[in-house]
Amino acid sequence: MSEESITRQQARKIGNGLDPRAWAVWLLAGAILTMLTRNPLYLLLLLAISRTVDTLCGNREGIGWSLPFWRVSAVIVLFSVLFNMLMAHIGSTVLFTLPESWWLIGGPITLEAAAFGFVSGLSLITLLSFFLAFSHAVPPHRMIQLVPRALHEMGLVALIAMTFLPEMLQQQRRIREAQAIRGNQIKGLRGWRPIIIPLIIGGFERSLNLAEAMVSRGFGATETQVHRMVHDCCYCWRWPWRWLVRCGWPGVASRAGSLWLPVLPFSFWLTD
Amino acid sequence: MVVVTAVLPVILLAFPTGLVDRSTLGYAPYSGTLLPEFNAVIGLVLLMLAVPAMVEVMT
Repeated sequence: MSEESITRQQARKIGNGLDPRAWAVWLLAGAILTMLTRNPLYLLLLLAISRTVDTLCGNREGIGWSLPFWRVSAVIVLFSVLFNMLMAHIGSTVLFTLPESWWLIGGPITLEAAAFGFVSGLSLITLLSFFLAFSHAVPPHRMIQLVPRALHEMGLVALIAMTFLPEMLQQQRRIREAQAIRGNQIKGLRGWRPIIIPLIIGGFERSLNLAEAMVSRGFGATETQVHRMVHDCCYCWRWPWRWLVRCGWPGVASRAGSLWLPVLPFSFWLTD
Repeated sequence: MVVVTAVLPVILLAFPTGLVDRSTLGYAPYSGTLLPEFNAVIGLVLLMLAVPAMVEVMT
């Protein structure tokens, strides 16, 4: 494989090789334009654009789970239409009428209210589509580089929260496959036990590994803390001696001074 | 290029520059209009957002 083709593959993996900031601007523009218009035809066009970009530029390698966009969209639009039809009784085209005695939802159900709900739902799923395209095009580790330095920790927490569910589902699939190879079939609630327990333990292990990796890289630590941590790690074996010499010297040494005599020449070395 | 083609539609459509007729951006079904109008110029302006996909196809 030539070097050029490798570079091209790598560029494809990170969403066209574009700078994440360019993708952020693209996302912001898409979101502003989506919120700017209420015309369903423009919204449909924006939806088509974002889906096309997601399909062509999105990287789904290594993602164990991705949002079933069209199913979620159908639910959002349906909910939006129903909610608006039941709550907004404005419009001249009456489809049917609910009894006035029904609290909050009673009254005429109009086509205009349904249309308004549809446009609102369409606007929401277009926004969702833009964000989905962005999250597929920009890998999480590059996404966090976009966060300002002052909000780095918050960004990292958000990143961990974002990647939690996909990783969990990926692991659940792996465990299910492993259990299937062993001949275990899920029957009833008890059948889930061999899956849930390794899943929880695996989750804990992953969290601990992540925490250790972050601590070892000095995440969230100031310069003084890092210096102290390194100092303590390097000199931790001296702690018992230091404690004995510093705290025990006035009391213990006065009573059993003879026992401490061999240590006395080294006490300056131990406590420095 | 992606940044420019992303910012340009926002400038054209969010601000009253006079270059694009923005009257069809809004839509209120309660006023009785059920079929909104489609302005081809706005459609073309919005298509600028598809530049990342075009770059991907070209490379």
